[in-house]
This record gives sequence, C-alpha cells and structure tokens, in this order.
Amino acid sequence: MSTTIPFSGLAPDARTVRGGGELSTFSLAAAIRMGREIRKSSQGASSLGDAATAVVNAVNALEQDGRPACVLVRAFALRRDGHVELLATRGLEPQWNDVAEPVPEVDPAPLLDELRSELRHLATASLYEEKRPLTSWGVRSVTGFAAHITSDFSFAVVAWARAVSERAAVRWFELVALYARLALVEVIEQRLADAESDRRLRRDPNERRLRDEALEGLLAVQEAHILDVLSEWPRRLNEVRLAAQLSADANARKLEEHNRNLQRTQRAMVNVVEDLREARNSLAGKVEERTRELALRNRELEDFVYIASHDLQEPLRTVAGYLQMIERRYASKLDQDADDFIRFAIEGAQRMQALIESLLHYSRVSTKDKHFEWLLLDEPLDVALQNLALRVEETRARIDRTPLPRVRADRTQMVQLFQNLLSNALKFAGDKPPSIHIAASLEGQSCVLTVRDQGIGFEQKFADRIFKIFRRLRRDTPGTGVGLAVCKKIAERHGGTIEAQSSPGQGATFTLRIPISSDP
Amino acid sequence: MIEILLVDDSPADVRLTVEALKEAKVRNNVQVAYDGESALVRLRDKQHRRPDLILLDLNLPGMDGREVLAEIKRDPELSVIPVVVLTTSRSEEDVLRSYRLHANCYITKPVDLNQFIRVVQSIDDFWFTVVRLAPNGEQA
Repeated sequence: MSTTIPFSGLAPDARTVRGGGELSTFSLAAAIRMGREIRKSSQGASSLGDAATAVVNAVNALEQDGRPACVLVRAFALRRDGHVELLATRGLEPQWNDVAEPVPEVDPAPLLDELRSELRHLATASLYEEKRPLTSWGVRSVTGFAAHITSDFSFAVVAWARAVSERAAVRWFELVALYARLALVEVIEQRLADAESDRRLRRDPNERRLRDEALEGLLAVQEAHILDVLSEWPRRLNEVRLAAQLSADANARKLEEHNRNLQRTQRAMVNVVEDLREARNSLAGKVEERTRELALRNRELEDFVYIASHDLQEPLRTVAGYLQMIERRYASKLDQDADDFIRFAIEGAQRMQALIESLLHYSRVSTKDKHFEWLLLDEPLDVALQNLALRVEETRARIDRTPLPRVRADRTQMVQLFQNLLSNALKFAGDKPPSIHIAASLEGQSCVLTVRDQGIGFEQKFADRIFKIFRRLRRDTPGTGVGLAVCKKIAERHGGTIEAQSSPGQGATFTLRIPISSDP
Repeated sequence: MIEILLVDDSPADVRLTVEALKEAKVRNNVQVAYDGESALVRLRDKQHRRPDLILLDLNLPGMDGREVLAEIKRDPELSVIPVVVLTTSRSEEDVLRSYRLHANCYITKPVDLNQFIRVVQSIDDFWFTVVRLAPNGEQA
C-alpha cells in the first residue's frame, strides 16, 4: 500500500487538453460509449495506477479516433490521511466560454440523494457506469462517471459531462469526488462487515487491528470534512435564494401595488375626464340653447315693438290730423276752452307720436341688417357734425377733436351714435356755449372713444339710468329719452360698452369701448 | 285744375288728404282708388282722363303700393305720370326702395297737418309750375 501513486504521462495538475470537438456533437450515445470503453480498459486493473492509465488510454484512443468528444477525465486517489488526490485531468474541452446562460444556483439536496444512490452501486460493482441526464447543477444533457475501486481501497473516478461552463463542470467534478468518497466510506464499511468472517483477518489479528484503526481515523476525517462542506451549501444557497426571492417578492408586490394605484388613478382620471366632457357638452349645449332661445325672444320682441309701434302710428296720425284740421277751420270760432282743449289734444297726440317714433327708431337699431365695414371714425363724426351744423352754430359751440382710428363698424349707426352724444352735449351745456372734446385711443384690440363736455352734468348715481329708454333726468328739455339708449344699443351691437362719468356742474364724459374688428 | 289720382285704402286718410289739398288752395279734381288693382284699371281705361299726378299709399290691401308703383313705371304709357309716394314709414330703407322704383317724390304722411299742407303746396308749385306737363303728357 503506497502513499503516493505513480502516474505517468500526465502531471497531477495538468490542465485539460484542448480538443477541437464540437459541443453539439457530443451525444448521449458518445458518452455511453466512452463510459463503456473506460470500463473495459480499466477492468482487471489491480491498482489505481493501472486504472488511471487505462482510462487515459481510452480517452486517448477516442481522441485519436478523431471523434469529437467533450470529456473531462479526472483520476483520484484516496490517501490514507483521508484526502482525495487529483491524479490526472485529461479531457477534450469544448468552447467552455461560448455558453451564454448563467449557472443556476440550485438546491443540492436532490443531487446529493441522487448521487448517493448511484454511488451505493459502487458497493456491489467495482465499476460503475451510467448515463445521467442531470440537468441540475449547471451540468447539461449528459453526465456520467465511472469509478474503480481497487483492492487497497484506492479508487479511480472518471466523470464526464457536458456542462454549460467550465465552472459548472469543475463544480460537478468536485461534487462527484465528494460523493465518491462518501460512497467509498460505505463500501469500506460494507467490506469491513464482510471481513468479520474473513479468514485472513482471523489469521492475522495484528493486521486487522491496524486496519481498523486506520479505517476509523479515515472515517472520522472523511465524515467531518464532507459534512462540513455539505452543510454549508444548502444554507448559503437558501440564503441567496431566499434573499433573491424576498427581493423579487417585495419588488413584485411593490410593482403590483404601484400598478394598482396607477390603474386606480387612471380610472379616476378617465372618470373625471368623462365627467368633465359630459358637463362641458351639456353646458355648451345648454348655453347654446339658451342663447338661441334668447336671441329668438329678443328678435320676436323687437319685431313686436316695431310692428306694434308702426301700427299704432296710423290711427294716431288720423287723430292728430283731424284735430289739426279742426284747429285750422274752427279755432277762435268756438270759445277759449275749446281752443285750449284742442291744443292739449294736439300736443298729447304729437307727444305720443314722438314717443312711438323713438320706439321705432330704438327697435330698428337691432332689427336693421348689419352692414359692418372698415371705416375711419372721423367719417361718421363729420357726417354727424354736418347734421348738427345749425345747432352748433346757434349755440356757438366749440368742438375740438383728435384724429380717430379705423374700426370695423356700421357707418350709419356710428353717425347716429356721434349725433346722439353730441346733441346731448349741446343740449345740456347750461348757460355758457357748449365745449366738447372728442378723443380716441387704442387699447389692445379695443378702440376707446371719449366725448367730454363742460355742461351741467349729472349725479353719478344716475349713470346707468340715463342709458335706459324713455328715462330722462330732466323734464325741461326737449326729447323723448331715447338718444342714449340708442347709443347703448349701438355699442352693444358692436360688441362693446358705453358708460358715463359725471358730477353735477362738472360736465360729463361718455366712454365708448368697441372692438377694432367685431364679428358682424 | 289738375287731375289727381289718390290711391289709399283708408277713408279717413283720403278725406284728410282731400281736405289738406283744399287748405293748400290747390285747384284740383281728386279721383280716389281704394286699392292697387282698381287704380291700375282706372289708369289704363282710356275713358278716364289721365291724371296729372298720382298720390300713392304704400300700405295697400292686396297688391301693395310698391307693386303698383313698379307696374306704373314699367308701363311706357303711364311712366310719365309723376308719382308721389305717401307713407307712414320714415325708414330710410322704405324711402330708398321707393326711389329705386322710380317714385318722383316721397312724402311721409303728416305727423303735422300744417306741414303736410306746405308739402302739398310745394308739390303743386314744382310739378305744375316749374316742370309743367306737355299737352301730350310728355315731360318738357
């Protein structure tokens, strides 16, 4: 029994010999065949050295055959101190690094069971060869190993595998070595039991004692070592797996929750958007409907006012006409009372006619067709001043003006507006000759026009009232109280506003704001 | 003595116009048609003397004043007769439309009778003193 086992041909640490074999062509059949070759050539070997040599020869033969192979052969020797020594590594190596997939970390327990059961065969067979499609442990497709146990308890293990990487293959061999040792222990135990009745041992108690001692020591060391190594693996792996699982779970949970929140938010948003859309549609619809309704009502009302006042005029004219005829023919032929009555009747009829006329005029501001055009506001102002020329002259009014801008407006209505504002200023000038200032400026998209006078003015609280039809602040001046109402209507028809600023005795300022270009 | 055809459906207005003409001291002979159709019939009837002036109300039952006016101005025989449109409407559009239909004059029915009488006098002055109709009805 030697402590060192000679092995020629290969250094113990020799690296695998690189062969040119194709990984894909290394089949199960090739593995089995190889195992068979190895078994054949190692059969009858009486020592580990013989077995190893046989294995190497077999591999060499395969190589020489030119058959592509992927095999790693390692020969081990079990030493008396319990260490397993790598005797030789020989193999055809595929392109280990061409494998992209990572080595999965898996539970070694099933593999351990599997190997243990396989290695038990070693107890009954001196050489074991089996194909194993072990896909776990990074060993892919085909694995196998053969072991030969010599009479002096040395053993040779030959393992071959097609692995995803060199790392996986090496680990696989380490495992095989470990379990080979484990199996070996079992085999040794078995043989020891058999040896109880062994004649040879009975004849030589000294040798038996020595053997027992050696084996006991060996067993203790082996077991401790194996357990040591093995116990670490599942724990570490479990830790890693658990951590990975936990983090994956946590991430998954977080992601799921996040997704749920997102979906909830999305649903809520969709609902809100839907609601808004619905509300907007319904609101727009309602507004449109109301606007249409209002426009229609307004139109009807205006038409009514126009027709009514038009028809009212007819009989009134008859009344007034005949009253005047009576006056012409019979005045001063009756008594003074009759003359007064006739005069009152005529005045009343004329007043009513004036009111109807005003009403007609007022309603026509909006019933009239729109004729919007680009015009310099100076033009309608000129026309208005011409129309009022006599009054201006009579009152010796002083009127100054700045150049006015160009706007899109109804020419006739602008004349009307200027005329009404100016005649108002002329009318309410007070005792002194009227002084009127007309100016305009542009503010953004609006034209702001002001007509300022130095007249009698009015209290600011009446500023709204003066724009209402037939609402007059004074009875002692002529007019029906429709001029400013018409101005307001014209302003509104141009999409604008008109307002007045005044205080008694301080004159008044009328400010018109209209868009430079309003849609007709 | 001028021959006037007054086309007006309102008896009160007819009488008032007749009286106003009297007041204006216009020497006249007024014939009245109470609607458009009968006015046209009368104008085209050779038995009636052709009027020197037509006073036409725009607001008539059936065929309205504008149609009567258009018909008169389309007819070469009648188009020479001056037509004075009488109406209650003061709207610019109505005035414009009447002139487009070749009315010779446009008078708003009187708010003030005295004013109306003055207008009638001036019509008399203008049409029968200044313009004068040729004997065959052609305008001079």
